[in-house]
Order: sequence, then C-alpha cells, then structure tokens
Amino acid sequence: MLRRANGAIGVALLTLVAVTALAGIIGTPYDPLVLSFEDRLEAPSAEHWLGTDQFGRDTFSRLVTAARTSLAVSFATVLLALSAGTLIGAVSGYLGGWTDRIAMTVIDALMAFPGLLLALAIMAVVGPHRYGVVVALGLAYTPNVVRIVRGIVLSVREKEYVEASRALGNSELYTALTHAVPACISALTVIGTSIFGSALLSESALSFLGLGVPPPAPTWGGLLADATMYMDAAPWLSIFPGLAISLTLLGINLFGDALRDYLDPRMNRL
Amino acid sequence: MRFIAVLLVCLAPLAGAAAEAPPTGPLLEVAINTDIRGTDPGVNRDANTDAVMHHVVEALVGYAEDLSIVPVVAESFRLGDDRKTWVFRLREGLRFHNGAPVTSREVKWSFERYLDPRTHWKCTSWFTGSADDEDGKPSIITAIETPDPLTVVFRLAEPSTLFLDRLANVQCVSAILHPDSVDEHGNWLAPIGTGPYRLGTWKRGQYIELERFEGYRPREGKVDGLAGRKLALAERVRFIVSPDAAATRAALLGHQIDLFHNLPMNAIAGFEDAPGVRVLPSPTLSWSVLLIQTRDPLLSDPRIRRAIAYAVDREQVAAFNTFGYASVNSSAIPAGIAAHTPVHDEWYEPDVQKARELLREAGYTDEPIRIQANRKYPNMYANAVVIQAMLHAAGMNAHIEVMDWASHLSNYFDGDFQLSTFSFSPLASPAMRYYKLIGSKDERPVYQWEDPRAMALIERAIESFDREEQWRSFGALHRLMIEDVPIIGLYNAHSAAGLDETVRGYRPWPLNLPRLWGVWKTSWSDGT
Amino acid sequence: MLNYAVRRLLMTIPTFLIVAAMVFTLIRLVPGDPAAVMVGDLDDPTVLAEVREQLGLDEPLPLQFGMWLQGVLQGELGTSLMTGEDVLDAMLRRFGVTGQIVAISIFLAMLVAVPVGLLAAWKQNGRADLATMTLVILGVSVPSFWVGILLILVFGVELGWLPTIGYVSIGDDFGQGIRYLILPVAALLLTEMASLARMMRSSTIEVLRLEYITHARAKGLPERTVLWRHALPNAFAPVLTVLGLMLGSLLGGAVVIETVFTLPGLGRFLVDGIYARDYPVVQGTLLLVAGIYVITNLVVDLLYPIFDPRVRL
Repeated sequence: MLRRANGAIGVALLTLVAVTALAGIIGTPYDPLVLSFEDRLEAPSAEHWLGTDQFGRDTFSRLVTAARTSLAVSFATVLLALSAGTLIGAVSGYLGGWTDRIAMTVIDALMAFPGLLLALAIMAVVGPHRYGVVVALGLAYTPNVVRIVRGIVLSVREKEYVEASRALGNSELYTALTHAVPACISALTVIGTSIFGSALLSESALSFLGLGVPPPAPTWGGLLADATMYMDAAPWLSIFPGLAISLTLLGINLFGDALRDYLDPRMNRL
Repeated sequence: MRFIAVLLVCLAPLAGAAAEAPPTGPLLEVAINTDIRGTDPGVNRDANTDAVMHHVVEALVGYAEDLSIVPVVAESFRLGDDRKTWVFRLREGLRFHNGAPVTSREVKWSFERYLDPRTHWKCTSWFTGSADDEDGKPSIITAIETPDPLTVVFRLAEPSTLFLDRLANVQCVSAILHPDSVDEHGNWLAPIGTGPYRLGTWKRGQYIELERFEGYRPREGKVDGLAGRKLALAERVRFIVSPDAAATRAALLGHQIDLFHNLPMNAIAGFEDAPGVRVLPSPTLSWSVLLIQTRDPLLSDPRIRRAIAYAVDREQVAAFNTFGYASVNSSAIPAGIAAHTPVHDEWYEPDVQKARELLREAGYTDEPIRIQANRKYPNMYANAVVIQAMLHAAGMNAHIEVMDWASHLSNYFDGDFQLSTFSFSPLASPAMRYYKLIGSKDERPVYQWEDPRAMALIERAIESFDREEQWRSFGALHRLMIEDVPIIGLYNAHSAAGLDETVRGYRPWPLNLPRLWGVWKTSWSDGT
Repeated sequence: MLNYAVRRLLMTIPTFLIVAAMVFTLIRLVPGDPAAVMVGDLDDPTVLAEVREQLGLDEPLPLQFGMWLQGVLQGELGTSLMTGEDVLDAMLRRFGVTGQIVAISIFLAMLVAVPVGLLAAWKQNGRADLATMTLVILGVSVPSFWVGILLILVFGVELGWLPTIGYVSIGDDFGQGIRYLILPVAALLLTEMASLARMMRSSTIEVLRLEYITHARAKGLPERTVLWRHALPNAFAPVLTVLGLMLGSLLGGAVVIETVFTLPGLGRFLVDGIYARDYPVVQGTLLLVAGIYVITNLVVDLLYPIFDPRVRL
C-alpha cells in the first residue's frame, strides 16, 4: 500500500520539477542572467524569494532555469546511452563470435573507469559545451546498457521462435530487432530511470568541478559550485540548489522503485 | 583615491611599530594554494615555492619595502670606478643552518653552481649571455674573486645597470647556500641556507613545515622587504596546501589557519564583515584586461572595438569583482607608479547609446561574439560574466565560453579567440609591458597590437635614455591605444591577505610574497 | 576452480591493454600544452621550447606511447611534468588518503547497512521496513558533495569543531589524523549506507524465498539462526558484487569530496593533472583506477562461489 504511495509521491515530485522547469520557459520573476550591483548577496525576501547571488542575480529564477538545463541534459543522456547501448548490445549479442568478443573487451575496458572519471576525461577533450556533457555522460553509461541488452538478446536468441524467424529467411539484424528488442523494453525502462538519476547527479558533480555545462547558463551543480565561496555569508546559495537536486533525485528513486516493482513482479510482491 | 586609501592602511602599522619585543609562540599556520614544486630555490619554482623558500634562503641583495635594492647577506656593496667591478662585503658572524660561518668561499661556490648550465637555474643566461636577450642585455660575469673571507668581487664583461636587479630578483633567487646542500655528484639534497627558518618536514600535497633557525642573527631596524629585521617569532611555520579558495576562506572563518596571503577578490564578499577575521589589501602590478582578436573578421573593424569600449563600464566591472579593491586602469602602465602620467587615465566614458550607434554604423547584425574565460582564476571568470551582461545590454550577441586554464592559456598563445578575459602577471618595467604587447601576429600570434605606428613608438621609447622623452612616447602609445582599441585594460587588482584577528605584525607589500618573520599572535602573550 | 581462475585472469590482459591505449589517447586529445601551463603568461619562446624538449613532448606520439607502455610493464609510470615526482610514488601516497576514506566509510556503512537491510527484509512490508526504506531512499537522493558543504558550514565554520582543509595522515599522528577524516567520511557515509542497505534488503528477500530457508524454518530452527546463519551468508554474495562496483564509483565520487575538503587524494591528483595537462599523472592515475576496478571484479568473481552455494564451478 505504502509502496504505491511512495510511487505516487515520486511521480508528484517529478511532475512538480518538470512543471517548474517548463514554467521557466514562459518566464521567471527576474532574468536569470541580468546583474544588479545593488542587490548582491541578499538574503531571501518577499522580493527575491530565495535571495540573490554575488552578481545580484535572482536565485529563484536561476534555479528554475537551471532545472530545465539539468533535466534536459539528463534526459538527452538517457536517450543517447539507451540507443547507443541497445544498438551495440543487440548487434554484438546477436552476431556473437569475434564481433561480440571484441565489443565486450572494449566495453569491459570502458566499464573499468568510474562513470564520473570517464565523463571528466571526455569533457576535457570535447571542451565546454552542453552537448559535450551529454556525449561524455552518455558514453559513460552506455556500457551498462550494452551489457544488459546483450544478456537479454543472448537468452532470446536461443529460443525457438527466433530460430523459426531465421528459417523464414529474415535477415539476422531484422530478427534481432523484431524479437530481441521488445524483450528488452521493460529492462530498459528500469535502467533508463536509474541512468536518469545518475546522470543528474554526475552532471551536478561535473558542473561543481567546473567541467559541466558552461556558465552563465545556470545548472544546479554550477550554482552549488559558485555558492561554496559564500557558504557562510549567503548560506541560501548553497542550500537551495542542493535541495533541488535532492528532491529531484528522491522523485526519480521513488518512481524508479515503483516502476521496478510493477515491471518485475518477481521482486517484493509476496 | 582607493589606491591612496589602501596605501595608507598598509603603511599605518609602520608608524605604530612598538618598541617592546613581541612575544614568541609555537606555531603559525598559513595556507598556500598549491604545493611547492621543490626545495632547490630558483631552479624548480613557482610563486608558492618562492613564498616558502624566501624564509629559508637569502641572496646577497634583495628588494626593500619600497622596491629599492638593499644588502641582505651582504653588509654593503659598491661599484668600482671602471663600472664593471662590484664589490660585496659580507655580514660578519653570519651562519648557515648547519652552523658553518658564511664566507666568500660559499658565495663563490653558490654562484658557480648557478652559472653551471647543468644546474638548470632559470636565469643562467642573464649572467652568461647564452640565450637571446629578450630581457635586455645580459650582465656577463667574467670572474668571481675572494680576496678575503668577507669580500666577494664580481667582474663583469661590460657595465650593466641591470646587474643588481638581477641579483635581487625574487623568481630567480641567487641563494647563498652551503656546499653541503648537494651531494658529491652535485645532486640537490636540501637547502642549507642563511634564512631565519630552516626546512622541517615536507609532506607532499599536505604541508611543508619550517623550523626556527636558532643561530639566525636578525638585523636591527624594522621589517623591510626581503631585507631588514627578520624576527622568527613562531617556533614553526606550517604552510598547508589548500587548493580550493572557498575551503581556505571557510578555514579562516573557522580559525583553523592564521593567514592566507592571496585571497581571490571574489572571496572578499561578506568576509570583511565576518567576525574574527581581517582583510589586508595591497596594490599589485598585475593587469586585468579584455583581449580582442583584431584579426577576427568582425573585430577587425575598429568601430566594433570602440563600441565594446563604450559598452564596458570598467568601474562597474571592478566594483563587481574586486569589491573596490582595484585601481581602474586601461593603460599598460600600472596605476600608482611614476610613469603613469595623467594621460594614462584617459579612456572611453561608458555610453551604451554611443556603442549602439557605432554598431549600427559598422553594420553589425547580431553576429555572435564569444568571450573566453576560465574558472581557475575567479576574477577572469567574473569579469567575463559582467562584461557579457554589458555587451548584451549594448545590443551585442555576446556569449561566454568557459574553459579550463590550460586551454584558455593555449588559445591566448595561439591568438585563438574573439574576446578573452585575461590577467597579465606583474611586470614592473613599463617598457617591458608594452614590448610584450606590440608586434606582428605573423611573427608571434601572442602579440596583441600590430599597428606599425605603435611598433615605431615602442622602439623609440626603448632607445631613449631620457626619462621625460620615454614617458612622452608612452603617452603617445596610450593615445594611440585609445584610438585603436587593440585591447581593453580593466584594472590593476589588489591582492588581499586574509588574517585571523589574533595575528599581528603581518604586512602585505607590492611583491606579494608573504613574510612571516615579525608575525605573532595575541594569544601567545598569555600562554608562553 | 583453478581452471576458471586462470581463464578469468587471462581475460583481464586485453582489457588492460585497451585501457592503457584509451588512457594514453584520451589525455593527448585534450587541447593545451603542459609546457605553456608551466611557464604561464610570462612567455619566452626559448624557455617554452626548452621545457618542451625537457619533457620529451617533441617525440612522435606512437614513440611516446611505446616508451610509456614499456615503462608501465616495468612498473615505471614516469615522473610528473609539474613537480618532477615519481608518478607511482605520488600515486600510491595519494591512494593511501583516498583509500583510508573509502575503506573506513565502507566499513562503517556495512556495520549499519547489513543488519538494517537484513531486518528490513525479514520484516518485509512491515512498519519498520517501510520506515527504513523511506530513510534509505532519502539517503541515496542526497548528493554527497552537498552533504560535505553543509558539514563544513556547520562543523567547520559555525562551530569550529573540526578541520575542513589540509590533511594529516593517521600514520603520522593518529588523533589528529582521525579529526581530519571525520567530515569527509561522514559526507560519503550517508549515501553508501543507504545504497548498501537497499541492496542487502533485496538480496535477502530473494534468499528468504529459497527452499532451503523454508526447509530450515520447517526444521524448527529459531528465526534468529535462520536469519544470521543461513540467510546472511547467501544474501551477502550479490552485495559483494555491488561493493566491488561501488569501490569504483566511490573513487569517482572521491574526486568531488576531495575537492570539497581539499584532501590530497587520488581524485584531486587526477583533476589537477588534467588541468595542468600533466600527461604521466593523468595516464598513471586512470590506469591505476581502472586496474583497481578490474582486479576488484576479479577477486569478487573468484570469491563468489565461497559465499553463494548455488554457484558451483
């Protein structure tokens, strides 16, 4: 019962964040990029709900704008990792043999790097760009997807109906796409949700280290990075972006758990 | 105005120098933002290495508080009548950290080691003349003589006005060392110097600790640059490596460290008013600028460059990013030095309307303009943020491109940018600053200004020995810079030392090296 | 078993080679010149050229790679371009810092997470389970670097109880060393505890459903014995795998924590190396981190049969 309530809370939180981000497109109380010398480092007030930063920019407006960037980057990362991972995993798993062996060795090597470190190194290569972040994070998460998809494809491949399809003269790739991929969808939904959470966290960490989405476009991690200098004089600058990241992650985790329970009834339903 | 006010604040402690001996205590904890590079002074160095090693080693001569050159290990020096012979008399009774007396023999050994190319001293060519003379004519040493234990004679190939400056140079310190500083093969071991502190424990990446050298005999008088009275009041000085400015600032506020001599400007907000800490600003010679690529198709039009000059409100940029601790300055000659004559204060008055008119005249149609910046140096980043907003307000489609320092620097060297917020390291010589700006980009892309008229003017300035005439050339250069706008100078930033309120006797100075002699804490007097 | 171990060991060789090639290429693709970073804006073309030659950056790339790989095989990772330190020495020393933090926080996290996960699974869907699971989900949702910032604000700045910069090794001064470790460990602990507890719970639930547990219960063994003697060892195997994976992600996470607390650990060594284009440092560190991951996985794979009676090789 409560488990379902948790899922509902997750969906509610995610909806809240998404709606806020979308509302930001229509408008924010202040322009998130306009500086105001007189309003620097002001505490939260009726005028500036969440205070202002060292350039006198409105924190609330920046948080809302950042939501859009952070969510968009995470979403694009999920799409990239899922599509690249599915393609590689399916092809490699279906063809097997040397293709598979080489692909898996490379994937193993990629997996040997912690996602954040790999993304960090790739970011240094591609330079500061929001698409750069997507590529870096997407590449970092692709190996996980490849592994899962390949595993499923391997198990599906042995099944008789696939043999039948092949006997009918369908090409190997066609067979792979029509039979293995549907089997992957529930697994992909689960892993996609988890990648979304990880990407959000890693993007924040990258921005925090100064290698994420380049300023002045605000991101939550970037806002936190700027805020550390003033953690004593303007604690609100550190608190609210962190809260935003945490609440979004909470939403994703709650939603993800509920989703897994639903898609994988073997678990937790006794 | 601000400059003078700051100078007064800095000089105030001088006047109140107490006659009574300040108390001694166990430990001073000081932050540095990178680990030192090594312990071989002048060979493997950077600013933080210099900052630490100047407590351990001393040269024959050094810079005083007013940047004049005074004796340090030497007692006195004089120039012979041939203007090629320099005679140094050493201080009597001076000892190395190993207890051995300082004699002319060790001085000669120290210089012979530095002049040996195998030592890889950074400035050997100054005294041997082996490299091209970009830094001016070399002061070639032909012989070092030791007529008696306390006299050293340097014979030069020809008269050189730069000789003393080079001996006093802080980056290429010519430390007087005991020969036991190296092993029998000449490999570096550890510095056995003459400074008030000796090297203690060095935990790479963590901290480096100095111990008081009990055999040090301080001069009489007051703290004076790298010379003067060096009283080691703290038994130990620990330099803690703390690369993150925000963390260092927090550590000062939490009373974990006593001092950080180089607070970035953006760390000052809210810090001045915080309880338990103090900020001591002091002017420096570094120059924050907005670089303009004059070969960029868009920016090659001087009207666009002038529009940018009108759009950028330097006072506002400085106010935002240095909290008033800067002297607005668009001239290559640092504000506050004598060569900065009134003409060097002239520049564009901020005027968004004029900027828009110029843009219209030049046929600007919303082409994107990218400003490169990095986050390693917070004020370069902050300048870019503020300038982007100003250009945007004047109708320019400006974007910030933040990259890491290595890429930013490499683009600077290659001339690969449109606009770029940058900051030049301190250079005391005005001629040198212009010299490094002016030249053909075909020859070296790092040159910022390739107007032939400017090239002619700087050649004339360098060749003239008459000060007035040289200054007139500098003035003409600045007028030309206003017309041409090859670069937009913003300000000379101050450096700010952050101190715990219990710390006494610390004074910043223009060379911006921390000096921890004569520094004590009020908490010591009751304890010990 | 031995056969499996050898086969598993051989499989790591191509992985290592690819890792080495990737590591080498990656950092060289990054624009920027280490010599320029060393010299700074006080550029002097002769000095720059001299530094470049000294650093061996003039040689063709394949030659540089060959020389580096040869060194790696002999256990020599070169010297740092910036400090002249031996990279292997520097790396091991810095790994000690990171390792301490990671090991202590994993150990503490396990102390809490294993019993909590076990009990939550045992009382599945009960009040206690839901309460702990809600806390756990909250725990995994809070970024550790944010926790770190808040800890600095409260314990470093406001209360002034604990140091927030610098580092003293517990080998040098145990008391001081511990004080420096408390905040970074605390920052990592929350997330680790939560994700371990979560893993422990779900793997225990799976085990509790197995026949032999029913069997044990049917034999009338006390519930306590069933849980600790029978369920725990088996539920622990998948957790071990996660632990292996977590070690890698912790090394990644340590980068951020080490930045927040200015610790001279491996993560910051890497980030500083990237910023300075200190090729030997970046190559060495990435290789070490990847190597740790590969070896941890190897060990976990080899240990698996010991914990899980279902896996027989």
